[in-house]
Amino acid sequence: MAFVFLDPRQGPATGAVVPAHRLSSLTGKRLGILWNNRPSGDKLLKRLAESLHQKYEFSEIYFTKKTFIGNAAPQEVIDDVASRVDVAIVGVGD
Amino acid sequence: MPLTSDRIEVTDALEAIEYCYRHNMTDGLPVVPPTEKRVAEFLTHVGLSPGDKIAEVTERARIITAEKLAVNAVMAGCLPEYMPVLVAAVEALADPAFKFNHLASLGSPWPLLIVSGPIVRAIGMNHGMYLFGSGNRANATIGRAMSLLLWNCCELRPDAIQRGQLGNPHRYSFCIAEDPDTAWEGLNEWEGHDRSTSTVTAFSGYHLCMARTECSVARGILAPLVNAISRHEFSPGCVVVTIPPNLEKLLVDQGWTKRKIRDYLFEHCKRSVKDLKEDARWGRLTATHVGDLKDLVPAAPGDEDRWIYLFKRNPQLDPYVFHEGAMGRRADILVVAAGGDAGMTIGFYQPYSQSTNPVTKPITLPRRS
Repeated sequence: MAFVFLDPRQGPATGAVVPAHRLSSLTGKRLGILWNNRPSGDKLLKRLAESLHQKYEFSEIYFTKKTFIGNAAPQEVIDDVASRVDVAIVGVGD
Repeated sequence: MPLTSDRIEVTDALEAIEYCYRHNMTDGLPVVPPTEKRVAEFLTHVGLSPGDKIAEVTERARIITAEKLAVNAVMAGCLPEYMPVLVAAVEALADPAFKFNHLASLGSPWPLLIVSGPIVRAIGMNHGMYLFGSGNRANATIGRAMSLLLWNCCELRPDAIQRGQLGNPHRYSFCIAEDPDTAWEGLNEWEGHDRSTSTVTAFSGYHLCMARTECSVARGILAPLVNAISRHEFSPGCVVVTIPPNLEKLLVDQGWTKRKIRDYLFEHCKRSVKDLKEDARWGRLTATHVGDLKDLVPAAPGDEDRWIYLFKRNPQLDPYVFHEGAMGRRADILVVAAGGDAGMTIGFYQPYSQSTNPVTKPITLPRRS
C-alpha cells in the first residue's frame, strides 16, 4: 500500500513578472543607473557606465540612487528614472 | 475546499523522509511526512480552509496559504495547537516593516520569534532554564516551522536567494517565550496589546550574545550589558534583552521597570569617536558622506570626548558611523522576562545592521464565539 504525503513547496505566485521592452541597440541611448546605496556600489556602477559608454557612446548617463538598500525604491524615484532614460541598470556592489 | 498541494506517493513513511532529503525540502534534519489527514487536523484546529491567505510576502511575490503553513508545520513536528502562533508569526514576517528581503543578506540575519501572553502556558512553551536551548517541543518546532516554510515557499535557501556568508545556526529554530507571570509589563503590553492578548514578535538579528554580571545593584547588573551592547556591532535599532527571573526580582525590588532599563541603556550605550576610528568604523559604511574615507582614520585631539550614542541620534556625527537605513528605523530595547532562575546571565540579540524592524502581531486564532 502506498504512502501519500503533500508537497510542501511554493505557494501560488501573486503575479507574473513582465520583462521590460528590450531595445534593439544601446548605441546613442540615454543610460540610467539606479544605485541601491550599497557601500562602494556607486564606484562599481560608475566604472561599469564608463566601460559601456566606450562601446555604445550614450547620449546621456543619468546617475541616481534610492535612499536605502533595505527598502524598495520609492515610486517617484522609479518614475524619475523612467522619464529620463531609455535603458537603466539597477545593481549592487560591495 | 480541498487540499491543493501535489501528492507524492512513496512506499512508506521512511521513504517519504528520504524523498524530502533528495528533493531539498528539508533543513538537513528529518521531517514528519505531511499526510492529508494530519494537515487537515492542523487546519481544523484554527478553523481555516486550505486556500485561506495568511499573508502576502510581496518581495517574493508569494501568498502564504493556510495549507502551505500547515504542511510545513507538520513537517517541523508541530502540534495543531501551535497553529495560532504560526499564523501570527507569518503575519509578522510578511509585514512591510519587517523588510523581508534582508533575510537574503550576506550577514546571515535570522528572526527570533518571541511569544508573550497566556498562550505560553496553554501550549507549554519554555520561558525558563535553557531558554534558547533544545528540548521543548513548542519552542523548537514553531521556530523550525518558520524556517521550513521560508525554505520551501519563499526561496530562502542557500541554493536560491539566501546569500549568507556564514549562515546562521539559529536558522534551524529560534523561538522563545516570555514568562507570563512577569512582574513587569509583558512584551505583549509593551507592544500595545493588553496582558490577556497573546502576541508573537519577530525580530531579526545575527547571533545571541550574553552579558554576565556579578552585582546585585541595578547599575551593576546592567553595566556589563551596556558594555557588551556598545562593543558589539554598533548599529542603531532595536535590541532584544532577556532578563532571567532572579535578576528581574533584583531590578523590580529596586524600582526598575522595563522603561527605566530602556532609558538607562539609551543614555549609556555609546562609544567615543576615538574608539570608533581605532576600530575602523569611522566612515567605513558611508561612502556617500565621506568620499573615499574608508580605511583607518587617525584620531584627532578631543576625539576621546566626542561621543556617538547608539540609540540617540546626532545628525552631525551619525553619518560617519551608521547606515542611513539603520538610523531611520525604530530604536528601542525590548526587554523580555525570560531565562533560568539561577545564574547571572543576561542575553541580548542585536538587530541586523541595516534594515528590518521588530514586528508584533496578536494571536487571534482560533476565534472563540
